[in-house]
Amino acid sequence: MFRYVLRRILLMIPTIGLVLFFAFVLQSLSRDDEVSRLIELEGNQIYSSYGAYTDAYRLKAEQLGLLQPNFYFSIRPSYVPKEIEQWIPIRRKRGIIHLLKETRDQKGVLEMKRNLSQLLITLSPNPQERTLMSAIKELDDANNLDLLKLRARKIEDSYVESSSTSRQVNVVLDQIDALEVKKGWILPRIDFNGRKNRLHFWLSRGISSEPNLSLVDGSPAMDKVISALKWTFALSFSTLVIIAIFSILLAYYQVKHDGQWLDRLISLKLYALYAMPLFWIATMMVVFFTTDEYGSWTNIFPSVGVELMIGQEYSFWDQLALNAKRLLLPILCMSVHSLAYITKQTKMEMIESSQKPFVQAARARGLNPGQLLRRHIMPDAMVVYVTLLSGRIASLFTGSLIIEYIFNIPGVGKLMLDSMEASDWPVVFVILIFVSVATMIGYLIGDILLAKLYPRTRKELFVT
Amino acid sequence: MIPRLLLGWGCMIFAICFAISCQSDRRSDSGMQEEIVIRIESEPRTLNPILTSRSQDREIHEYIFVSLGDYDPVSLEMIPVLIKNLPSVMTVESGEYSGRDAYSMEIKEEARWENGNPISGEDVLFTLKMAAHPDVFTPGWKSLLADIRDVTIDPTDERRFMIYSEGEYFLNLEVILTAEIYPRYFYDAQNAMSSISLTELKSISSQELEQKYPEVSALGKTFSSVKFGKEMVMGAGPYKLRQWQSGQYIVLEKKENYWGNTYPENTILQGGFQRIVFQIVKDETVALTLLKNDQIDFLNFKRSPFMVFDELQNDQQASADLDFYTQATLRNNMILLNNHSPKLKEKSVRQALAMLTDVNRMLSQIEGGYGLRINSFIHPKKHLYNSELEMIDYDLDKAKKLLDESGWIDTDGDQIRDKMIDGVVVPLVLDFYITSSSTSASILAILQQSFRAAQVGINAAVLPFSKIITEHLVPGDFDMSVYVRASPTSKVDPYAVWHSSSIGLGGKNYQRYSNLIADQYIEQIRRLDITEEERAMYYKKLQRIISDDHPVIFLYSPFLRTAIDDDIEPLLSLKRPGYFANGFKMRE
Repeated sequence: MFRYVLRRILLMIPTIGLVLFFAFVLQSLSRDDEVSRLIELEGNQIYSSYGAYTDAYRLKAEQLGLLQPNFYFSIRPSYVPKEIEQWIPIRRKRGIIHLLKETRDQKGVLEMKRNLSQLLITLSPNPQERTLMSAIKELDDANNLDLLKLRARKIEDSYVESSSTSRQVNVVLDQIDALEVKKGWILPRIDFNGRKNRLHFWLSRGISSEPNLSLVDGSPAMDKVISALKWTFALSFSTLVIIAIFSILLAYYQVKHDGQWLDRLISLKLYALYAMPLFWIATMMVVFFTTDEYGSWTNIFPSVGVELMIGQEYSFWDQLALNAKRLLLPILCMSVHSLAYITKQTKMEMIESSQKPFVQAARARGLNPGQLLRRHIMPDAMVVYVTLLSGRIASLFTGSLIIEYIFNIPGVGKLMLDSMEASDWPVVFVILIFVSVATMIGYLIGDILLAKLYPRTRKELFVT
Repeated sequence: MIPRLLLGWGCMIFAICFAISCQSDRRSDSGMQEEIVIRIESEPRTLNPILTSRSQDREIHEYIFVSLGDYDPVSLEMIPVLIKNLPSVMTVESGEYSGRDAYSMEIKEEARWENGNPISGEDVLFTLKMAAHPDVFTPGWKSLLADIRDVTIDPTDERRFMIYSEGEYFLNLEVILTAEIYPRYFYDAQNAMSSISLTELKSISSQELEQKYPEVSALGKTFSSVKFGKEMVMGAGPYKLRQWQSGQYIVLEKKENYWGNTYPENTILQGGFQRIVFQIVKDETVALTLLKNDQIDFLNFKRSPFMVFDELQNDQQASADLDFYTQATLRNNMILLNNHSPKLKEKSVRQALAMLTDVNRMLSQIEGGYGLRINSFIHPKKHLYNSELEMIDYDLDKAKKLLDESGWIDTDGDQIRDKMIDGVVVPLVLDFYITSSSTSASILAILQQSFRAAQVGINAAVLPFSKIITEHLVPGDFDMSVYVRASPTSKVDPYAVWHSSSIGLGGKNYQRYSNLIADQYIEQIRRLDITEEERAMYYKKLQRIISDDHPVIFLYSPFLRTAIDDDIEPLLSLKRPGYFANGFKMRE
């Protein structure tokens, strides 16, 4: 068994690696321009020139490690140079790739774009050149050859030469004129990027002294998650204990009184609870039980959120003790939903077990219904019960999202929601690791418990 | 037997827990004198003012940091804060900076940092150097400070200093005055910055800096770190950061023996409550619950529908301990029209769309009347507003006529107008980008109704605001978009939003408005060598020309709707964020 547990733990490492890799690939496929988003949304900032804007963009992109290829090696068509990653902003880089794809003229396109950048930097602080500036910006935006040539011709026709920029403008126009579609084979080229790639940048930050930082506030992503984890753990663990105790007891009670009015009443209530969406139950509980809205007698629970612990530093246990009463209502909400499901499934399994031959045989031996239930039916139904419970561990972590949001509890679920809304991927990745690990540990605990409680499964589980 | 026992014990333990928790937890009145709890919707990113210009961050750090001068929340006039008097521009007649503009300033004698050190010109110079540091991400500041040449400190009195400017930008003085000042001794204990001049720092690259001045380079990284944004935060304001509990709350504490107490007439330097607690509550229902439970004292109903505000006011029980206020804001809601779009290139089409927009209905249905109609980029309550501009009223017939005259007619009977453009029949269906907010949805619903009546189609797409900006507004891939623009308390610099050079990357002229005369007015407004009367005239002319061109559809400016504990007297202002917690007082 020890070897089995060790093997399962070792298997977690490649599994987490795969989860992270796929998450990274998905993020890489996103067309979101994080830097532009950060710059555009930073309030009413004014950029005195195009150069100031690109400087700001480059500084932020470098800080985020974005001016690098995605992986340790890249496969590109031969007409796309390795240095393409250095071109900013991302939208402009995509435009260049389009042009390269169309013309396959690497030297011509890149030279022209370099001169265009220089021209934009020269022109932008000068309001006298505004007409030319907007025409050059339009030229820079053109990402196919026909449009590029059309816009270049328009400039050529309307442009009045001035001494300061005429040479630069003419150079660009000549370069555009010389651009042609080159024919030939498109060969793939493999470039090895060494350690200068985004995946390495990201992974190395995960284990180095310079950790992955949240894009929102620059604090270490791991610290944010660990700080939030304590609240989620408190909620999830308490919920799990309540579900574990009450679901089995209710199922036992229902099977024992199968078909009686109390059994039917409990079944009806459990169905109703399971059918109601969690967010609705939670919102109703907040509105009814934490305010005087429907009379002071309904205001029986403390308010939502956690206590303001102003002043000294509190330990985790102190914080938990101070907030215990505030956590009760959210725990209750999380419990009732899962409780309904697990009780229902366990009851069904117990009824099914009661039809099995070994139970019939025991009944024939003269065991009374209570003895049958405790000695034969319940242990048999434990397989389902334990499997369901272990599966709940991960879902409680993610299921706490709604509860944490509604009850304003600063746990992992709320952090995940906030981070996803802000595209704060470093934090989302760390949460992903925790949820993956929680899922695997949940199932591992389930398997170990099954082996202990139900020796018949030990062989199936461990001799593989 | 055992399960029954377990069930019994389980129920009993649960009942005990239930009983313990079953108590309402209203705060006792005794604590009310000490602190005020204000709800904020989201956590600030940083309390390091140079690194951010987000209003959510400023809402908190403005009590910790103060600047040389600032706009008074009550009078909305520029007042001296750290300095004795507001400076006026003078031209240097001799020496190194001969011919340049200069501002001479003197810091108040009483102004001191927490350690007792006087605030000096050295701190001002350090602040400007940090803003110019190539490794510090302060893009907005770098552009604004581009014209500032140098700072010289009087060798006989370190409180006196002179700032030299080389540009002719009309807001230069305001930029200098409103920069939050940092204590050099706290942020640069080793005085590394003294090894490099401001001029050199402005022109040096990050790589060169690392080679030539490694300590200065390292300081840039430290300064930008989370440590100086969340933990070690110090300014000259009336409050200091006491605690930042991530995801929960931020506590500011009033400084003891604060030097600003000697200036009771200066609102910015006042501290009313001993502590200001900013509680982070994202969900509106939760915030309302906390307000009703007396867990928070001040709530801004910015995100809630007006009905919630009205219902709470009418609910006698819930509102028994609350006062309600509305306050005009400088937020302008508008619909951006892409002036480069082939469908919206013509002024008459844009004018027709403005006539199809029933702004009065929007104001009443979306804001419950809590707002003010606008027809200019300058708020009607500001003195530079051109009061001669007309409001465009909803007029379906006139709009139809304008569209007919522009050649947009339904030729194929599909109830959508169309027109031949460059040899192709183009239907008048407009790509309209909105966010998922209820305000956007309501604007869309109202527009759809009137546009349909005029046979104009809307192709609506709901996207996050950041995506609308980066993927549609910046590249110009849109016809219409809902947009909120907050204008500053100061004079507005129209260059970034209305000048044709601000179209595309780096600019905020998302509507792609281009008018040579408007450009000339903007350039005149930005000049330093004109009188304030002349500037006001250009502002009014610019407003007129923009109003006539209809580059955007101006909607309304919503009011700030707030509820506050009735024991507290609030200080509300047109200045952002609309309230000033340091001016809140307990009622007599």
